Amino acid sequence: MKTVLYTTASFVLAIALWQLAIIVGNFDEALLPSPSKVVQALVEIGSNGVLLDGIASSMYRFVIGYLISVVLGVAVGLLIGNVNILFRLVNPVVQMIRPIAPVAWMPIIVLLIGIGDAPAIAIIFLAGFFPVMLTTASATHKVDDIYLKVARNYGISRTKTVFQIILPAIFPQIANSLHIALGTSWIFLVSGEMVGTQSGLGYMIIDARNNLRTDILLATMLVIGVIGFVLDILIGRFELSVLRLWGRK
Amino acid sequence: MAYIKVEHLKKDFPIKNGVQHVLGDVNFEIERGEFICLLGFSGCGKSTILNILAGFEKPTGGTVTIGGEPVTGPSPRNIMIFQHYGLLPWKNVQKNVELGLETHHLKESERKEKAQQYIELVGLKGFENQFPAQLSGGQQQRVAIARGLAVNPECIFMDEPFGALDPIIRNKLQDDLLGIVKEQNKTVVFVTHDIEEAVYLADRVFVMKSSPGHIEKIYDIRLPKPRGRNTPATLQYRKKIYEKLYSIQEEQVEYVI
Repeated sequence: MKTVLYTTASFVLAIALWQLAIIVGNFDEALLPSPSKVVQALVEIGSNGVLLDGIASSMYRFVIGYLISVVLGVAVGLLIGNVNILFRLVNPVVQMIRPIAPVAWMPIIVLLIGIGDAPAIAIIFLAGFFPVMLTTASATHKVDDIYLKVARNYGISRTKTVFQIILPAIFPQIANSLHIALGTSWIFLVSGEMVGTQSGLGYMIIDARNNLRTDILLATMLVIGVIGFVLDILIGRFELSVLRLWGRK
Repeated sequence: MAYIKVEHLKKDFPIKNGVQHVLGDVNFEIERGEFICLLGFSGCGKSTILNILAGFEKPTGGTVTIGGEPVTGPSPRNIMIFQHYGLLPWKNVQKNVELGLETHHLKESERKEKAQQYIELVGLKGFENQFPAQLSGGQQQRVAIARGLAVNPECIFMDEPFGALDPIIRNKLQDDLLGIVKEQNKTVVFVTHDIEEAVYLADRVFVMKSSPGHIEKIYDIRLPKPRGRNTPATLQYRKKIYEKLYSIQEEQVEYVI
């Protein structure tokens, strides 16, 4: 109950400060709309279907991109984590590719596969894949030695050890990386949509800017923030339940 | 015929500027069904001996045979019980105890029944669906023991298994262990730095000292089990071993009549 109270207070405070900034700063309505104007814009795009279309496009790409990045991230992470030769061959190149911002990939991706859903999915994939893959591989290396000793003692085969002991043992770390990857992927989705698509929330921001509708622009930003916020809560719950089961909380 | 035979065992560990001689020329024999305690301060190599017997480490020199066969690696025939239990936190008690049975080609019901048998043996009936995080340290160690017994090993190697537990629980588990081991006729090698524990549990106590690790003296505890913890005989053994461990010279008493 207290959490809800604090959360509400936090938002109310932010909105109040926003309104205050407008009054004190005497901004032009076209440059920085007031909270009430933004709410009006929200209602406008909500009722004429634009918002729903945008959300649908973005979520569609997000779900596909995120799921692929997570599944491949864990799979590749497990593979290179457990096969040392692969890790030593793959890791140097990965460490060089990883720091390249996913957005920086957009021009080449758009050139190669065109505009539309694909580049947006690609950017989400890039944003999520590396952290999940690297966390999985690194966690595999750091598995508590005692589990491996127990596996050897009871004659458990190498393959079984990987899937039935190592993978569950590192699941809390994987869950944590999924949490972080979710947030990162959502952020990059929006910036990806700003340069490579003709639909979705990111596109709506560019479109609003082009039409000088800063009220719609801010309304869209609000929606992006709210969705990100909700996604974070959901995966936070998932992560917590994993940690609880593994006996760490 | 010695069941466990160790001859000229030597173990070096590489360190920064050379090697550390952890074990230097260790020799001993253990009969089947004996309960042996390796007793010594930290760093004397007692855990290293245990790890080598269990096949987790390879000796630098010397030979180790169990049942006539040289030890080449870990095997379910020689189960190790660890100080920090090593239970899998995502599995419940039942599933943890069944761990070693999964390679035994049993039907699921047979596996379940067998695990159940050992869960009851260690006094944890009713706890089958609990998870390790919900259990106390003593309970977790019982699960580990049940898991180990379920695969019917020849030898049980215990590395300070009760070290993380409070004295009252420790005493209870010691008694339970003696009961189980007697009934199942297992050969036990038990590492500890607790003299009281060693004298209470062991048929023979190997007192070890370090630099490099070696067996200083072997004490034969000729007291029937279960033993009293504070009887004169027990205290006498404890005193002797204490003095040996701490290198206190035995008092020479001269009689003048």
